[in-house]
Amino acid sequence: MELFSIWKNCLWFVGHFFSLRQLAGSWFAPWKRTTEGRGEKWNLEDLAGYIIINIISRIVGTVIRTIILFLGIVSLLATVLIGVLVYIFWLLTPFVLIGLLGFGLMLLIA
Amino acid sequence: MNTLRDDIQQYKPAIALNKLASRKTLHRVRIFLFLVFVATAAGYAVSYSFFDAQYSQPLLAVSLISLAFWLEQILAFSFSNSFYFRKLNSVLGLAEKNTSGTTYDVAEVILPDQHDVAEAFCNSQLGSLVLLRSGANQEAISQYLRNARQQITADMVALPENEVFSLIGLGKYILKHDTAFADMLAHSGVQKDTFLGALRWVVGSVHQEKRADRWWSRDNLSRTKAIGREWSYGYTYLLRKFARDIRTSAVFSTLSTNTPFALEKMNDIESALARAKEANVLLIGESGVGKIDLIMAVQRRMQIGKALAAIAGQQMIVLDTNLLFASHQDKQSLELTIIGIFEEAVEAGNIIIVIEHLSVFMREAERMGIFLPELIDQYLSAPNVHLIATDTPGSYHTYLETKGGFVRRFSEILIDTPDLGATTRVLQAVALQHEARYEVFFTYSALRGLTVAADRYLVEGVLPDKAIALLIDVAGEAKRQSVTIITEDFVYGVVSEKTGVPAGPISESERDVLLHLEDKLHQQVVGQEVALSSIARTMRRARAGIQAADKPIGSFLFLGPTGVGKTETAKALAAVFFGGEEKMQRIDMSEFSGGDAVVKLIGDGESAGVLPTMFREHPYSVILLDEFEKATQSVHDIFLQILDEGVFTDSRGGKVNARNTIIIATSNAGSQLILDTVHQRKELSTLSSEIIDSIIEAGTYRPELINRFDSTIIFEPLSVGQQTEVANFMLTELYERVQQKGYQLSVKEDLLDALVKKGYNPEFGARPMQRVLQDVIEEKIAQKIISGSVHQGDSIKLGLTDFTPEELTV
Repeated sequence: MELFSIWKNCLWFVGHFFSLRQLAGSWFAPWKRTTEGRGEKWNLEDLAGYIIINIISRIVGTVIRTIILFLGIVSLLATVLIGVLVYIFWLLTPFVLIGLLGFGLMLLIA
Repeated sequence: MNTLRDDIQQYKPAIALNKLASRKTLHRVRIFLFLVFVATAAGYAVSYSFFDAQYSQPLLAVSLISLAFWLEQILAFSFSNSFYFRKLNSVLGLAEKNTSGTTYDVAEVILPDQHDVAEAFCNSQLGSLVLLRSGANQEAISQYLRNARQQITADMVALPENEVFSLIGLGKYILKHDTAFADMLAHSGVQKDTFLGALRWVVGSVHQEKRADRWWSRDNLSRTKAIGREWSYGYTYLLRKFARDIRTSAVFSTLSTNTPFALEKMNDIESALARAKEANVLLIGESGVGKIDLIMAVQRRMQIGKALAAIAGQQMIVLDTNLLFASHQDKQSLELTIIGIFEEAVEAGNIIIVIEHLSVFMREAERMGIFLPELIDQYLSAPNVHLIATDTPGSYHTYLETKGGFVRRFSEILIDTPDLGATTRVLQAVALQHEARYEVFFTYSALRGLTVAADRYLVEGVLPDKAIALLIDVAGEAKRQSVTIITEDFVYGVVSEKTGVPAGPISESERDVLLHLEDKLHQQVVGQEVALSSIARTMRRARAGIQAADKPIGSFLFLGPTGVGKTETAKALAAVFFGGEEKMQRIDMSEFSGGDAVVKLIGDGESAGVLPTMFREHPYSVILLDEFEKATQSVHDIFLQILDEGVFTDSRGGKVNARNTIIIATSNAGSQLILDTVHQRKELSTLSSEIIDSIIEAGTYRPELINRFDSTIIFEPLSVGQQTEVANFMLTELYERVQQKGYQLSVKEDLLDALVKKGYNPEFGARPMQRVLQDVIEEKIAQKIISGSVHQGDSIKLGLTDFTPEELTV
């Protein structure tokens, strides 16, 4: 039961540390709000600059966020997996312990 | 029904384990085993690879065995933890559901002696620490344990439902149900509240230690900074240059952010910041009350996602105003930078700018010709930028409020000085930090004493800052005097030494002074039995602590004709209570009768005013308000507040403390009536209410003002006999003066009688007497010295025959 709640805390921590929710919510937003102004009057050059910078900024933002989201999700999955493994190991610990001790002593004597 | 005995059985194995080896020992063993495992495993690998596996087998064997034991230790550690931290969330208020049952600490205390809960408590490590902190006498505790008494067994204690039974619950239970225990505390001079305070302190700090130990809890994990939070917000180049992250603030955290008061203020700040526009906050509070601590606490809540959703992901940045002014020489560049900073904040979208001491910043800017309200007004109403500013109430009233519309852009949140209970709680943590450094031990009553003394006797600063400063002073003093246990008495002793005001328990010599105060005053004042005994009674009441603490030490209205000893009495009080006549400060109230009276008295924005200056420069003194009736009505109104609350606000909005003074207002009002009464040979004491009524009727004083004084004292005109006594007093002073010049003076009875007869005037009291002595005797001596008829070392004897009738009619 306690193992389970510690595991839950670890999962929460991974989500918090990689800001998964915030990054997913702003996945395609421009990188650090770097955009060009559209200009006061209509002007093809300004508009083009605006569109290009905006697209580049969004691409940069999306790439970096994707990397972190990817790392975050991998960590999350790893935490889930480690949790399951630890739990199984926990159940088997007494046997592992006896096995290690027995094997160690055997090696020492032999 | 679940009893204490039933519930603590679950902890038996864990406690048995910890008895075998403490948690600290287990920790060390665990680390040792792990290191052995790592070393032997590495040794095995090296041996296997480079030395033909010569020692590999024994190394592998030791490695596997140490790993096995390390795993065993991990199991033991986890086993111990699952009991050690049980119910901790509920105790700390972090649990979502209510639970019941006991904590590990309770079981650890009770299990060794389940037949006598109180004895188990007293003998346990934490229980004895609680008793020591509460100041209970060791002898009384042993006596109590030896005596036959009704014992409470663990069976008898029924556990509450929906509430965890911690050591605090146990302590409360024993106090309530074991009368012998309560009696023992009472005999040791420990009040119930003190015991409970010490109990909460000791047990609370154990709970906090456990909280910090449990790194895997969500509240500990959440302290890590997350990555990528600010990526969807803009760059802040200028802001980074002229500001710093609030988390780097070196704040000595004094404000406990767990209190309901702090929580309420944090909620206020959050909701103000979450507004759609004009989401700015102005925190108003004296310096030292913890304004930055509150802002930091809000920041922490935002970081762990517990703040309102509308402000999640926001970043707090403190503007470094000093750097800003230092790096800009001219108005234009500074203006551009300030605008730039706010533009960036708008652009970034997640910035909360924090400006400390807003009015100082604005004044500095004004000096460079920048009117800040105009410059940043548009940003204050923008939806994307938030500003938190702090300021003191004084500056707020005198400066910011005059800026009209600007202040309306902010939600104002007032941070009051914490109450005394909250200050004591702050001191608990501070005391623990300083105990090791100064090698001292604070009792709980010492902390309470520190709080009360800091509030009552230290004029400068605010709580809890001044209480913390006092705590450090007291600890240092204890170390110098080689005192290890700091008690309430010790605290008051240090405070008395520091301030010169008798504080805390009454000492032997002071008791003597207080009990014979009338006699002490009579050494300087002639007659006035009724008046002096009335003053003495009031002062005894004040010193015994029966009077309210939020008033001046004493306040009197002295009524009576001139020259009857009113000023002398004030001087005598200054000498008795503050150690010298020079501790009497006099204000001539007739100077405050014009239209500018109030400004002269409490100052305006420019000058400080007579009264605040006097109270600040002489916080421990007798303040004599001469001819009080001549001051204007509005001046009287100011004194209404001073007499009632012991504090008042000066023109700059600063609080002035008058609680350590004795305030005496003297007045000639009603003198004629007093004289008439005496002429008619009526008993003055029975007519005092009549005299006061007539003063009120005449409109000299309003009844509410007279009622504010602790007592109204009526001074009688002096009789001929008393006048002779006064003359003798005056002559003694003259003898001393003449002796200093090298002559011996003596005045014969007949001359003295003639002079008293000449100088007696009930209306003007002793003043004419003084003049007669000067004109007749001092004049004669002067003549003798100048004419050379006496030489140094001679004695001058004066009798009635030495004077011609002309010389006597001056």
